[in-house]
Amino acid sequence: MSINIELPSNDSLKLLAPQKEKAGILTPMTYVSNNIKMNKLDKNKFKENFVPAGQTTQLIIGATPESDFKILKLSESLYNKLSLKRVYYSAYVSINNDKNLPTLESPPLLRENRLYQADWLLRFYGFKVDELLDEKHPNFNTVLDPKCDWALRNLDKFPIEINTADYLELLKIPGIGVISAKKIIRARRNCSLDFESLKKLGITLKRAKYFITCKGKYFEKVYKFNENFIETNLVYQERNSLPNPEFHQLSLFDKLQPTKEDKIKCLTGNL
Amino acid sequence: MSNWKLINKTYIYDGSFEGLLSIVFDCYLSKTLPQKIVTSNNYIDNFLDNTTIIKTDYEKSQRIFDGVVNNICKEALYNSYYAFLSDDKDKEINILKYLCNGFDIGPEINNKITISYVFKVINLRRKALAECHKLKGLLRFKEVGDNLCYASIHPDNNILEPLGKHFINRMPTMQFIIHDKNRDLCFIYNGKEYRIINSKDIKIPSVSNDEITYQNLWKLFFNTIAIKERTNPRCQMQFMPKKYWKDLIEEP
Repeated sequence: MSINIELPSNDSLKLLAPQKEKAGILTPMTYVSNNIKMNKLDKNKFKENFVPAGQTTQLIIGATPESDFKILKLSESLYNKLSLKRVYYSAYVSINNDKNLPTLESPPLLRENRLYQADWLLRFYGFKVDELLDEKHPNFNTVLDPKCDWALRNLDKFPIEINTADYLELLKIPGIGVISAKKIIRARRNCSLDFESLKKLGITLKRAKYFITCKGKYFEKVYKFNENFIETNLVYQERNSLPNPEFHQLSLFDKLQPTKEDKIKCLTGNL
Repeated sequence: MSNWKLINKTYIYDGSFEGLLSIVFDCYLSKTLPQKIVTSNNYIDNFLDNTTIIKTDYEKSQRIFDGVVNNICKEALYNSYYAFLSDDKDKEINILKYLCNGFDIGPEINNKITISYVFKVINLRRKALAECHKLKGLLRFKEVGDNLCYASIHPDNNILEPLGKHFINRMPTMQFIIHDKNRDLCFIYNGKEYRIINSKDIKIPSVSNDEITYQNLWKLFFNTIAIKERTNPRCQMQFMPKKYWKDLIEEP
């Protein structure tokens, strides 16, 4: 069941979708979520499941000036209060030229990606929106993913020792997800882990290596544990996956055309 | 298993799972580990190898089969079966070590992922099933006659059986053939039961008249539904690797 909110605030709804109202969207959503809860509580009474696949919604990104912080706050409350299965974010693609609509050259796909990354952090990694963003930094970093960004701002919580950290702590390490964290917990029951065995387990250390210790030791190539060093390295690693600003090779002879005198000099050999 | 003797022998078996289980039986009984295990049709005779041909014994394999379920766990059986389906040249020896050690320590074996062969077996299973999962979406059936569908695939792993079983569940009344062109094997389902046979034994009929029309409709749908602004070839290639594209009807 999907009831689409489309635009993340009342003002934007008034501007772009005047036929939609906040109450008109939230009332049926609350109705559905209450009924799902009731149905689960009293399984014997209701023979048939009510909306067994759960409830979802969609938000359009980039058509109105809302910040990432505001959008994520909305989805967090949707997850917590209405127990939604998922919130979909959809980058705005401009189709017609209404005066209320912004004109974008290309849909904000990177922003959509960052929102999805943050959405996963909310649902599976135990993060809260206030940790990821605040009023001063209302939008996500374009270069680093939300988790790396958070980790760099909270370096006092790191490095995390792989052999003793609990599941939720492991999940906070950039580059380690649900599958890797579960693998680590399963493997370390039998023996303590070092970097070699992490590699054997198939855990990617590309980002994680800067934030962890194994048996008290840092990764061998991590010389310094400070924000500057880690950030430079992370950004350097990500350079291929990001849209590049256009560079071109500098040339010494770009605008220098040989003059008539130069040509004569070449012929006579008096360079 | 640590005090088992490593013997300088190459075991040759017929390439079936039962054959591999028979080897496990023999090894477990004699407490020895061979140097290599190869299938008979892959084996190139080597003058240095000390070869022994192990015949598939269904009684032995059944005993190992039940033994794995009772003494280790069901998951170990699935692990070894799907690892067996994968395309890896050392899979047999890894499965052998995995099962033999499993008999010694029980279900705890699946947690010992730092042991290289346990990790390998679990990883091979993951690889085979991941490919199977991808092909569940990338398989394209063509109608070749009355109520008969045909699809060809080029998978890396021998995943015909789990793949075919999935489609039996999806469309139990349809008759279909899935053709693994890399191994020349066919999964044939006639509406009641299935069999896997060599593709040389059957003749594949040509496509029906309606089929071309429907293929064109499908291509049209595929191109119409695409959102040009959102094309992301890198992401697309992660979900549908290019090596599978030759069996598709549409052109992504």
